[in-house]
Amino acid sequence: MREPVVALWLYRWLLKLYPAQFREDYECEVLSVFAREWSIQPGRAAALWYFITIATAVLIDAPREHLALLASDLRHALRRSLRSPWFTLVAVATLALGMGVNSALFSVVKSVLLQKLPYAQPDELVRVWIRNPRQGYEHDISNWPRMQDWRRASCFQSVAGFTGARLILTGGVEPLQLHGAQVTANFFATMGVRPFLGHDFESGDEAPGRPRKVILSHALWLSRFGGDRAMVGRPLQLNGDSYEVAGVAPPEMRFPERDLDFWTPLLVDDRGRRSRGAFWLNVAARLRDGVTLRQAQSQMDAYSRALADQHPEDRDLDGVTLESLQDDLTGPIRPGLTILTGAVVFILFICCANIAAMLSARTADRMQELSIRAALGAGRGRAVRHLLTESLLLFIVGGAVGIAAAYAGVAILLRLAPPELPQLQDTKLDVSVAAFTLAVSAAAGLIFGLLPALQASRLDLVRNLRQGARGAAGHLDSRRFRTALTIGEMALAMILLTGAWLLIRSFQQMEQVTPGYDARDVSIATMQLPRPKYPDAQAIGFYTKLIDRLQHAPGIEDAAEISNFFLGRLPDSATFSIEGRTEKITVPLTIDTVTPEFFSMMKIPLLRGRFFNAEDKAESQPVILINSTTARRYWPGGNPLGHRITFGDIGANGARWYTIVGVVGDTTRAGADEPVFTESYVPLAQSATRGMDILIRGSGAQSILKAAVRELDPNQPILHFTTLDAAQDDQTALRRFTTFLLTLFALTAAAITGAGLYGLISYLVTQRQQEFGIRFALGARARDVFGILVRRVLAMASIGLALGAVGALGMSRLLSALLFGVGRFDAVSYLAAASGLLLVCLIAAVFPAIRAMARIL
Amino acid sequence: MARRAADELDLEDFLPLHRDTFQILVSLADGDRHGYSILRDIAERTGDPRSITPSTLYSSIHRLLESGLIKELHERPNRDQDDARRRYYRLTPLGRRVAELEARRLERLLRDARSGGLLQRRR
Repeated sequence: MREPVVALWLYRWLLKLYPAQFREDYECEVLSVFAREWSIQPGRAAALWYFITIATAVLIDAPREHLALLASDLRHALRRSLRSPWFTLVAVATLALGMGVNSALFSVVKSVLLQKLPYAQPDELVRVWIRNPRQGYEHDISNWPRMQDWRRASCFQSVAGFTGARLILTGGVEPLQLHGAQVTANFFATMGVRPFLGHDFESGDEAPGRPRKVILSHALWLSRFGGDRAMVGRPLQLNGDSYEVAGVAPPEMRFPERDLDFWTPLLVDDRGRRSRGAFWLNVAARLRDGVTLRQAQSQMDAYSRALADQHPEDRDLDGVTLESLQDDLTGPIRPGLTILTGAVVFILFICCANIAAMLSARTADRMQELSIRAALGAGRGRAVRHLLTESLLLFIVGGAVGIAAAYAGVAILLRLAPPELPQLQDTKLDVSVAAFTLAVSAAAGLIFGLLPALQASRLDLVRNLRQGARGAAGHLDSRRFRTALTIGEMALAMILLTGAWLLIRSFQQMEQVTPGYDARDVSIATMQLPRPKYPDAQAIGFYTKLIDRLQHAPGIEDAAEISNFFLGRLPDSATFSIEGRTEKITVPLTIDTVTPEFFSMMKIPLLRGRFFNAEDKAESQPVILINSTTARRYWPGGNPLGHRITFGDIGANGARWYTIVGVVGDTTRAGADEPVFTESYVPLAQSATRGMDILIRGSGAQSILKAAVRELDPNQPILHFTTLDAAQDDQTALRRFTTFLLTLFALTAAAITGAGLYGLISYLVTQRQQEFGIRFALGARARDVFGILVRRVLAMASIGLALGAVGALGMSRLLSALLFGVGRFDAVSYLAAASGLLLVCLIAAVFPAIRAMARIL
Repeated sequence: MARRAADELDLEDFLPLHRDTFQILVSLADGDRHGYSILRDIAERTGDPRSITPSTLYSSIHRLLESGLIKELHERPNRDQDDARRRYYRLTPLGRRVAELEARRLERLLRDARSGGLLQRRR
């Protein structure tokens, strides 16, 4: 038979299915055997049949060969890993830690910041804010006439208004205080949300005199009405009025707040429909198709200028700000999460650097072995494959532990998360995030671990062998590489530690702020009386009687009432005028209604004049107390007592003038990290208020309050009950969460860096053992050798810390929003971070050094 | 003694041998051979020229080498008719023991079949 060129070529091609190693070893012989067998086949048909037989055998055998090889490689890798358990443990732990914190935090970020809102075309939804710089509000709310103006703007598809509402549901076993929103009829349509059951509001529902309607939240429908579909169309008793249940909202409807109970059409009286001066209505809008936020903003800028020409009231304002609804909802948590995200990325970098350094060191250690193998004729394929399998095994195990760590991380984060971050509660570990972090760390490890291996196999053998023999000097490149990586780790850890110290010091500063009142043993409850049932006089009567009962109850030290104990972002406030002065003061003065005993109970000092007393009645002259900040600002060096102020315009008909009768101490009711407002207080007797916070000092407050309220009005619920301390903690929850996590991350970073340095120094010591031995033999003392190591660590640390400090100076700008009482260049924080890290470095270096001494001596 | 028992146990672990593996060991039992010679020998003994393909032959040889049942010779037995590409293989003592054990096992099976009346005893 002829030389089987085609058959040989085909067979050789088939053999490529075998592992490279097998082909290297046997291809030649297999082909030669094949050629000889082929040549003795009797005839074409037999030859063809022979070829089919052997081709089938290849298809069956080749995969089996691959599997066998993989198994053998894995066994080899496992043996290797177990032979250096510390290496394996540290690598796996580092990998797991890096992946764990990253997957956990990125899952949170994804669910809080990046998850699209569950409404139709969420990118089109915006909040419309008024810029009101003269009153100190960059984001102020609006009113009816302005919203109507905006509805005419061409950039919007629809514009909806909303405001909070509290209604009391009666007819059940106990009255229930419901928290909901009054919304314009087009609210759900604007949000792109269809009712889960029933139907949406209609445009006529806003008109006064129409039957009242309500859309229930999915949660309330389930909890209170057992998910009864027949609820739609039924009447409900709310605040004593009859409301028809128009529908049930879908569960994902969480706007304007997360845990609302209902939405009801907004009823605005004629005055409200006309007044441009009051600020009470929130506005959200949907942009027209294809209009970008930027285009809409510039249209609205022009439109606002035109409006200001028509309406003199608008001249104090500075147009409107459009903000995407997504950004608006995530606003408060965004800076903290952004910083934490940066922190975990740093941790991932540090982990990758550590693993890269470890793998690179291992490759360097293996260099000599590789060279010997190569010298003996072993292909470089097998050696590289071994390194690869080992790394693979490391990443598989590290990845598995990392996923477990990430699950735990999310659970821990949720446990630590303050209740005011309800969005967090939806967070689940995001698989794509976990896969991504694994891929990043694996890529880093493989690149840094394998590159040297690939280079090594190309290097000339003689040099490697000779260097191997010399030992110490052998792995210079790898050592430099590891040193650089470790210095990088130090710099990143320094940045994180500095950030953590800045936040910790801010928190300390905040803790030291004296609140200006005494919160010890004080409970706080919130109540809202329904307007129809409680006209002004009845409301005053109710709250006066309630205080009287509480003060006489056993176990109660003292009780008082104030309309809003905690001042929120937009407290009840108004611009005011001082009698005898021409200018209208545009910095708003908060107005809180209090009962006379409020100040003595909360131990707020009287600085001048008098507190309120029983003489301040509805019909006597209106009186007001101001805080010390207000007195200092408007009567610097003078005496405000006896001066009269009014809210609204001077000379307006029926202006109500309040006489200042006293000056009281400042409080941090807006939060310890907020500036003190200019504040004023008016007595309940002269200023009827239906919503009050009840403050009670003493034990058993909750049951006593419940009993007292039940006696006065069995249909009146208590909205909220907690201790003042807990409520204050809630105010600082976000700050504590961020500070705690950043500190945790910084410590983690420092620990990993320490582990990396430990590894490097151990390696160095092993490499130079011979040299140290010679030094000892020549009369060096342990101190000298120790000195060499410490000097080396100090040199590395000083570079790392300096780089880190520079980095921290740059990064601190991101932190400034969260700082309080310390500047971003606060030297104490930088020094504390540097000395802490230096300590970690020295500890990490000392142990391997001592071990080395012990081995040599 | 204990050591010996352990060895026996280890040898048992090799059994039963794959048909191709056993055939290769049998081929090498009467002397060192190169790959093609093993293949021809098996073909002749079994009367089936396709009983083992070149690639299967060498992957079996590879596995036998790894498990230490055979070894590769560095000297060449027949210098006169040598081909530089050919490698020669020899049964190791371990390989011989394993092959023997496998043969005994097969023998036992055969004996069982005969005593069970499945096969007629030859006269």
